[in-house]
Amino acid sequence: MINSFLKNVFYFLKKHFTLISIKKRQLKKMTLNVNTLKQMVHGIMSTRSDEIGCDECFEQLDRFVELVLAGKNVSVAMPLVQHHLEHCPDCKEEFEMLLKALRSIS
Amino acid sequence: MIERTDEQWLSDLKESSPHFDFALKDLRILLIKGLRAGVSKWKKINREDFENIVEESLIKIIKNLDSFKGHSRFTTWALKIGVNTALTELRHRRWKDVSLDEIVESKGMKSLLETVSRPSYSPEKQTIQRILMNTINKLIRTELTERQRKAMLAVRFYGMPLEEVARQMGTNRNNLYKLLHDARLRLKEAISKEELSLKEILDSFGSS
Repeated sequence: MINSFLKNVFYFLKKHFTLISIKKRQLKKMTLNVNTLKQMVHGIMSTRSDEIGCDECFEQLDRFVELVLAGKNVSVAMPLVQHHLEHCPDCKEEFEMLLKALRSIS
Repeated sequence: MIERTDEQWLSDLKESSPHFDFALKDLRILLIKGLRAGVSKWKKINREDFENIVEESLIKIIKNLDSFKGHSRFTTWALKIGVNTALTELRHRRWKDVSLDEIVESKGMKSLLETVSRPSYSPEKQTIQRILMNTINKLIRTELTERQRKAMLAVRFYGMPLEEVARQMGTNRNNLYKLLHDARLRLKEAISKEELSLKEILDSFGSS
């Protein structure tokens, strides 16, 4: 009798927590997909014909990061670098790491 | 560590300079401090790896002194090279065992076909998002070359660094960016010919 009761409680709890876990996973998956789509659409629709490449961005990155640290409006001062960083995850990561590195030595 | 002007750094770091060893030591200290803060999010980097990155950065900086044009302070320029060296190494370590072909085959178009709806969006917005996803899915298949499709899936949907995708595709990062740029331009043109307006597209991601 007690065994049967405990078994039922066990199965109820197992089912309950499994459902919560599945729902959490699904929500995460769906959220991720919306964000992926959003980023992709933004990336496509904001494409310009005059974009610079990674080499040119790297060439100008030290000047750009100093302007950021000085609080200047970089989207006006260096719009092509700013635009490239919005489209290139590698260069953006380098910019962010450089910014962090410079802040740590100042 | 001695305070130096850009000119002093350039002159002291010439191998013939009597101040070379001191300047190199100071530059190493600067790189260690800056890069340590920069790489803090990369958990798996040990001390030896970190020291190798610093030494490799120093070699590159000394070798490329002539390319410093004075558009920033010398120390900013030097750290830029250090950051690039560190990230190239760290990205390679993280992704070297991941095959681009396997990703594209397993991931394929499946992720594009998954539902994109989220309960917080209104039914109208969810419908536009679904139409948009189907349109992009169709255009990626019909408008892009095989190389463009492969690179876009790896970078946008799998989060693989351009540098590693480029390496596996036998090109370099700059050329891969141009390949992806051409792909985006092509998709933009193709989307503008579809029935969806830009306003509808942007509105579909607004608040519910």
